[in-house]
Amino acid sequence: MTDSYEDLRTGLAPLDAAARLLDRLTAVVSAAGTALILAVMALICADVAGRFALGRPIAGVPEMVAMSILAIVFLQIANTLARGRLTRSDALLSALRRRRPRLGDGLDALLHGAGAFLVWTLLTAFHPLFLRSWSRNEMVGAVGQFLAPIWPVYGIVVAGSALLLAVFAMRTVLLAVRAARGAPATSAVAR
Amino acid sequence: MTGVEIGLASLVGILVLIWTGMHVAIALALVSFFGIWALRDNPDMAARILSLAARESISSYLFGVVPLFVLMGLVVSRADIARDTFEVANRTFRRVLGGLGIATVGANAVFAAITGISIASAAVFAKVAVPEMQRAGHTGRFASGVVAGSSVLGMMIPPSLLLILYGILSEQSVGRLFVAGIGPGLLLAVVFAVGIALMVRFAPGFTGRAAPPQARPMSTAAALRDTGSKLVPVAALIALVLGGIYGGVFTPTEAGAVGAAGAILIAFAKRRMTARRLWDVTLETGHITAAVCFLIIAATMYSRMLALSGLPAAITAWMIALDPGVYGFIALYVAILIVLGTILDSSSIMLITLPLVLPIAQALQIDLIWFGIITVLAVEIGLLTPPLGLSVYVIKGALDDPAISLGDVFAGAAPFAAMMLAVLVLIVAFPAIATGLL
Repeated sequence: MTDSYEDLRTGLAPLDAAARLLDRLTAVVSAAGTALILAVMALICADVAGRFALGRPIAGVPEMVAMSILAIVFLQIANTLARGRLTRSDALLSALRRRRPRLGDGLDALLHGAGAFLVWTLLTAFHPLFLRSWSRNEMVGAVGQFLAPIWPVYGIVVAGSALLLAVFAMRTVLLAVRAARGAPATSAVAR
Repeated sequence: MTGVEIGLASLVGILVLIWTGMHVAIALALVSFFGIWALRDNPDMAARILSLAARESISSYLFGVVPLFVLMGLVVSRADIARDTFEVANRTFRRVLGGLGIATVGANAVFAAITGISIASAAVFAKVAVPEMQRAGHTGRFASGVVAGSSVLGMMIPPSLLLILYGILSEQSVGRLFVAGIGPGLLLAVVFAVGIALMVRFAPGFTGRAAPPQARPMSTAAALRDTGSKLVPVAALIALVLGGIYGGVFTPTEAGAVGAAGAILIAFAKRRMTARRLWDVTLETGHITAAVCFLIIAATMYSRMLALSGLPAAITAWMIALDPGVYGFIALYVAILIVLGTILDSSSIMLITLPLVLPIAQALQIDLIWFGIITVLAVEIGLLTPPLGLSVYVIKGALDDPAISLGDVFAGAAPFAAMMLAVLVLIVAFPAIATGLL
């Protein structure tokens, strides 16, 4: 089931517009993550080529790759949820939706609400780590070899989690509205 | 409640929540949060332990393998390389009994060596091989079953996303796991091919009677040239990735990057890739990477909660006291994996069971590389069994043919699930099949 925001229309124009805006925002952020994947690939290839052709590898590639992975995941995670690609097993939920669509939406709203609660909890706990790395200018790598500040990556984790929280909350609201009012007639045609 | 009871309750809670439809990562993390809260009576501490797990679990060089191998696999599945391989395999096995089915297995085995996701193989070959087999006179049930069965090779023959996941969770070398996957993967392909020939010979009612396909007029030189142009790029990619890892030239992460770049170059050279499609494929890679890594973060939280609860130690002590021996333990473990495979997806099963069974395997002094191969194969059997055989659903979705029902695909896949079980028994009995190449 790939349910993007279009499959979750409520029929309330301002709410649907807000959902569309949030979806666009996650798409823009995830584009940065997409570019970063290609950059990591190119970086490692350059490192390998440098090692074989010139006998001179690039300094700090393992550190850069490790930091990039964390950044890639948190740049993509909100869009992954928004496009319905976050791993779940929806056999029960789809069966319920077929028979009792509003009950299914209600249950799904609860599940997304739980996601919002969890991400919020993690965000509040992770936020101090980011602030500390920023104020102390914490570094990764080894002195004399390669050094880079870690706070930009932690910043991406915080921002990406905040965006993920927003998507979870938005979907909770959309699903709850659909459970309360029923899905608008047009969305049944669109499916 | 004692710690062990909290651990057990959290296990039940996770299974119920996942089954209800909660996102797997959220279920793992949420239950871990409440579990640590209950164990330490302190919600702030629970949140802090979890956020530290998030920071430490994936910020490592090794995780580069996830996006890179996923990207490589997606590029080759978009570049029609599967169709090329299938055509060549078809020409090779034309005169053999059940040749089309065997060609599907052979092409899948080759394709598996450049992709790491069963689902990708299942979707691609459902479109390429099933219509061809049906045209020749095979039943839809048999044709889709062959594709479902052979798609499993994608996860067994390296590179493999599940082996990467296992390597990360068990702190074993991904490179060594890849090498250990080669023997079992090839054995599985051979068993499938023999099984297909036997089924066509002895159960024609199930497979349908295939008319020998007409040889297309083509001179030997043209056939050779065609074969070369279709197989050389694939062979080069396999040599680059597996040869690089096996020869110790590349780390798995480097092999992933070089393989992905090579796949992109080949796809552009064959004029089957544009900048626009590369972007879409990379975006999809990003989605898969984020989903997988988010699962790993959640699994780290869950295994920290379990460690605090003392459940793994209790289960290990209980298992040792029971003294089932290595084979008794493995039999029990495989049975549990197959049962879980009927309701959960492969990665979730591994995330939930491994923190509990790895301490036991270590206490019994089991080779964890061998154990990983057994785990992945047992988990993959679940991809073919109802009610939640993921490969089967993907094939049904890719086929888009109302004449072949979901039940047909499951029935067609059943003999292959049985053959996988037989291969699993062989690997348990003869560990050298997996560890011989190390």
